[in-house]
Amino acid sequence: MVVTRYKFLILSTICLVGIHYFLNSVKPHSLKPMKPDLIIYSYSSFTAKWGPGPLIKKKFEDRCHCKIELREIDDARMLVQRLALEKERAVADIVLGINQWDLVDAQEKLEFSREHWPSEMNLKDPQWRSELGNPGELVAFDWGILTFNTKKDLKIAKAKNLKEFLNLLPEKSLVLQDPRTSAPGQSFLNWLVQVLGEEAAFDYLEKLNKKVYAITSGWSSSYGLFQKGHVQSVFSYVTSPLYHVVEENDKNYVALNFQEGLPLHMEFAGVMKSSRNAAMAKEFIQFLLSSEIQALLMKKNYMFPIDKKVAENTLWDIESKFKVLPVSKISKEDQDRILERWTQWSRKR
Amino acid sequence: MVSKKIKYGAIICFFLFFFLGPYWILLTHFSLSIETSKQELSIVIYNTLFQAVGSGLVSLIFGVLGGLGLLWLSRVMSHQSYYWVESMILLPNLLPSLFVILSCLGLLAPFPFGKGGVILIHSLINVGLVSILFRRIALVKLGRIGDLSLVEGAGFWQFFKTGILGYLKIELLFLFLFVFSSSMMSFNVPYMIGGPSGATLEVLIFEKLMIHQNWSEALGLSLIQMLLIGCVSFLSHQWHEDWDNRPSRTILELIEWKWGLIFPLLAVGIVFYSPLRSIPNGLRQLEALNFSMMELLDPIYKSFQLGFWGGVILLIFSLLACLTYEAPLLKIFSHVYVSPGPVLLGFAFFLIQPKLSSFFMERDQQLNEFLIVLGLAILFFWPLFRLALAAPLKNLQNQIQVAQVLGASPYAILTRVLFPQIVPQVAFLCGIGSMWICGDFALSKMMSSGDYHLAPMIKSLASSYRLDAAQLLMLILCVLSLALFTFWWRLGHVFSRKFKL
Repeated sequence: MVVTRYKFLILSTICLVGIHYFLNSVKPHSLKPMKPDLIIYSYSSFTAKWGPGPLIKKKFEDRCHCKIELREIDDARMLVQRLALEKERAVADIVLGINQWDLVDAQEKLEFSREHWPSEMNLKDPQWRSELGNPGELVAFDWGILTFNTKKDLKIAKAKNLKEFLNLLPEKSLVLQDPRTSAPGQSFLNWLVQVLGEEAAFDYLEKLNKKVYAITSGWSSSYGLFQKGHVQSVFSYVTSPLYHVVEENDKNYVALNFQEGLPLHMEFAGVMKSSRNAAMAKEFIQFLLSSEIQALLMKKNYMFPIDKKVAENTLWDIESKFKVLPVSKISKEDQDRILERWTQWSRKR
Repeated sequence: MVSKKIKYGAIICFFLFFFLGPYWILLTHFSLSIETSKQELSIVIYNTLFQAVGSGLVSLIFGVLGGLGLLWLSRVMSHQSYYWVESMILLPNLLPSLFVILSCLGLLAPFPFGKGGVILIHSLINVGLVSILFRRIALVKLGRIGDLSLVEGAGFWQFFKTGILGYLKIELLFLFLFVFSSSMMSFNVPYMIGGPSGATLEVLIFEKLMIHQNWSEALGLSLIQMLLIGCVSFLSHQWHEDWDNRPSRTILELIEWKWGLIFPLLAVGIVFYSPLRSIPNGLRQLEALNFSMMELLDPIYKSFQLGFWGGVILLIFSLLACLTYEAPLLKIFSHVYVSPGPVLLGFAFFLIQPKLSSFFMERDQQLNEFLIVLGLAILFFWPLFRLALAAPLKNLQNQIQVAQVLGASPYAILTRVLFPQIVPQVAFLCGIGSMWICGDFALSKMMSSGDYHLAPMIKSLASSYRLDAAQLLMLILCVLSLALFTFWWRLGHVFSRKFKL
């Protein structure tokens, strides 16, 4: 009996020590702790194993013989908040994925490397430059058009405008994202305000209330609910149906084109002022704008490349099929007020 | 006498340092304020209470029915077999809530997101535990009356009305309060399932911190939450006496109802059916995502480490609490202490992390691991203490006093009186704590910026709705949790034998 209990203790200890040494000895070199040369903060669908982040990281590491660490923040909207919280710790060299609605907030709360990029580089399209102004220290690296996605065989696929969409949508069949934590959610709310006006936008939301099945904190979970067939429609990108064509050979998904015009979502990257390796960080941003990485972003992130030539003669050459609204800016006060009204609406649902 | 007081004082200071430390860190950085509009605050408090009351009531109703079924089962089954069924029924309560959430999302389409969904998940988690506790309470309180009533020819309904609803009113209330308070403190379930319309106080605190960065308000809200939970904890602490007592009877034939078993067994079925069904798809999804064995082994091992070291910290806390439990201050503290919740705790650690970094020679990853383990131990210790240790310690107070009168030293009391009798309970506490710690994702996600452990990895897969892969990893986490529990349980068994010798 005595042997049994001590045998248990000894065996447990041997097992633990064995596992520890085994894992440390067979760990590939890349997994062993090593101080990174660059730390990049981005949203989860970029840094995830299935996103473009790990591939871009590997390509850049091979090029510069350096080590990059990707750090994940749940959604693009949380990037500014998280970095503002970490101000004192200041470990991020680069932040990737700030959207155009958060530009003002990001520039107020965070300190970016003051070295301005040439304007033709940080916002390639001259029309956008005139609409949005010069984003200064930040560089746009991809963009998308957002709309409601559905399946071709459903009634709502025929909707041509917001009113028809509301009428054709059955109860509890739409999933939205929380605009306070999700970039597409924020685009949806600002889009409604942009095309309908603030009061009419909230009236529309009231009418939409019964049709909403769930409001998720991020895009990924809302799209998952749509994909699994829990709902008929989701607010997503016009390039989302391309994913199903390329990955699943399924042509049943469709992005709705509305007469009111559709909102743009632009993603920006910036080098932090506190970066310990600013030269390499700047090199990474330039690398991000190269044709090779723009094509990779397009194919893995299912977004439009900022360098429009990259999309020419590919499946992604669909931008002209959609009526797109001008890139709009919103003041912080207006944004806060709209979000507060949204919070009140969503709490009472 | 003086040295004893100094020792007690030092241990109590140790507890105050660790358990009030997070509040102190936050209060030194921010002041308290509540700027949330009355309307929003009332909606959120209503949601919190609605979900807690709903979860409490549903768990109580189905738990009592389940308890009636267990009364029948314990009569017809051998003791050993009944023990296994009871352990199985208890599993949904012991496994991380993420497991139950994922199972339900995978099984129920459309899933009732919102307040209803939160109540459903909490009820699935608690129904088994309530069934087991109810059976035990019924045997303790109604054992003798049951025999008499049977002889006098009372029927099932008559005894149900007068016996259960009459004599067990207070016990039923305490069972309700137990589920009520654990549901009130829950963050993962309302955060993932509730949505903005089902936001609770804990979720509002998270929003105030992450979205508005309003620390003062988050602190103010947590004070409201603390007061609410503190009142409930204080009210319900006395009932532990009941379920620690050994039942005088093991049979209560009059109110057995075998069909009642369906409810706790159904909860177990719902929780395990979906993960088991998703194994083939999960393997395919992981393969499609190019997950290598090595990439999985690393987070599995790190989760094991997290759970193991969490258990060690809980063991230290338990031993110190046992040594000083007779001190009135610690007794009160153990009844009313409410931990700040994973969100606030995470932010408190977030604030001190840069200052601690130099002590760890800037090895931030190791520091984060340490803070995650410590934080989770702080979160889970007192609820576990109330669950597993408070009643046995209370029952041992007479023996401790006798030993003290006879001049025994604190060490002798610990090793000769306390240890032989409480080792199984301490091992149970460490085992359950290890399981919960290794399954947590809330604090891990907040403190580290990558999926280094299994639980945050599962959360990421679930967020991107790769449910099959998430559930498969959840099964691995479940096995890992059970291995940790068995490790501590066996260790307790070894030591209790040693002390008995």
